[in-house]
Amino acid sequence: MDDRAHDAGKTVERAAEFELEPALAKWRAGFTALSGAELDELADHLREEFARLVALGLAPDESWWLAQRRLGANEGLEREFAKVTVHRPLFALVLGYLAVALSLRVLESLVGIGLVVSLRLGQPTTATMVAAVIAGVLLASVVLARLLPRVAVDLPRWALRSPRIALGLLLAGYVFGVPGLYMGEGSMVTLLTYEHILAYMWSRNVIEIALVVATCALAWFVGRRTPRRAALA
Amino acid sequence: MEPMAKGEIKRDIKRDLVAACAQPIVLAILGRGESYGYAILQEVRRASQEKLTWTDGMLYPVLRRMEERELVRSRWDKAESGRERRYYRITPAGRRELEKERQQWTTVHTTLGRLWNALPSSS
Repeated sequence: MDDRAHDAGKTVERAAEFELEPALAKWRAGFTALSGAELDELADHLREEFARLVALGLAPDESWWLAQRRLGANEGLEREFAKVTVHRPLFALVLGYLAVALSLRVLESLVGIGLVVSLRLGQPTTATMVAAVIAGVLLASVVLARLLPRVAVDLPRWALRSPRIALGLLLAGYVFGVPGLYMGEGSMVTLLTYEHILAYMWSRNVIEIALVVATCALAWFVGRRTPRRAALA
Repeated sequence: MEPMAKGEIKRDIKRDLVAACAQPIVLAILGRGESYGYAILQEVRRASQEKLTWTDGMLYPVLRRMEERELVRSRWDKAESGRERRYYRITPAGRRELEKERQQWTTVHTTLGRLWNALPSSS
């Protein structure tokens, strides 16, 4: 058999082996940030384009390659979808909360560590402990407020691209923040009364809710002012 | 129609212009009746005689954005293949936007037409 005949034989074999559904499943797995509905819609498009190209006489594997190429690269699609999705009110709310909560947990855990260190060094009174906690949270909020534009816009967008990583970090932030409250003997738990802890939680939640509202408002405002023209070509 | 060869990308019209006309084109197509993503792109190809080509997938974020602005509404329904498909239709706000876009593009078209007619003939 000469080379050309051999190549043609391989092409026919390859085309006969091609199966659309496994190829679609593999293609879907390449996305990390698109919703099931968005992927279903794009998959419907790919099926139609694939069928059209096969009907034109292209080999199935070539049709699939071309249909995918015409649809666009995964990263580009995710980027364009993220520009839209992040400004949806509900998404902005959830992701804004995620962003603020994550930042607060990290800053709060720093406050917690500071408290634990101060407890090890001396024996402060309950009043100074409460004041230290509130002052720490307020300080963290001031720092966060300076970072708010970046937190409000970039972090949700990034979280949308990698929601699993963002959720993992949020969880890690919560776990990391807990030691400040539960360090055992001589920690805040034994020094502060239940009412004091409630007061601390209340002050934290009020600040957190205020920051979430501010973040969402800012995300909405920035979203309205950001040019939204899609890169179609 | 001949399929595009590997590595070949047809790009006759500037990217910015293509992006700018995406919304009025989609509104004009949906203004004639309900449709879905793939059919909209085929209609664009037909109407532009293959001169206006998009990266197919980029239509969908545009549709999402238009839906967010309540210019179009979507619904999922069974296609002929039996699979679920997302269909889009224009809203009253979309019709008003279409009319606005129509007036603006007509102004641009008329202005350019007059100016180009005043140019000396190149032949």
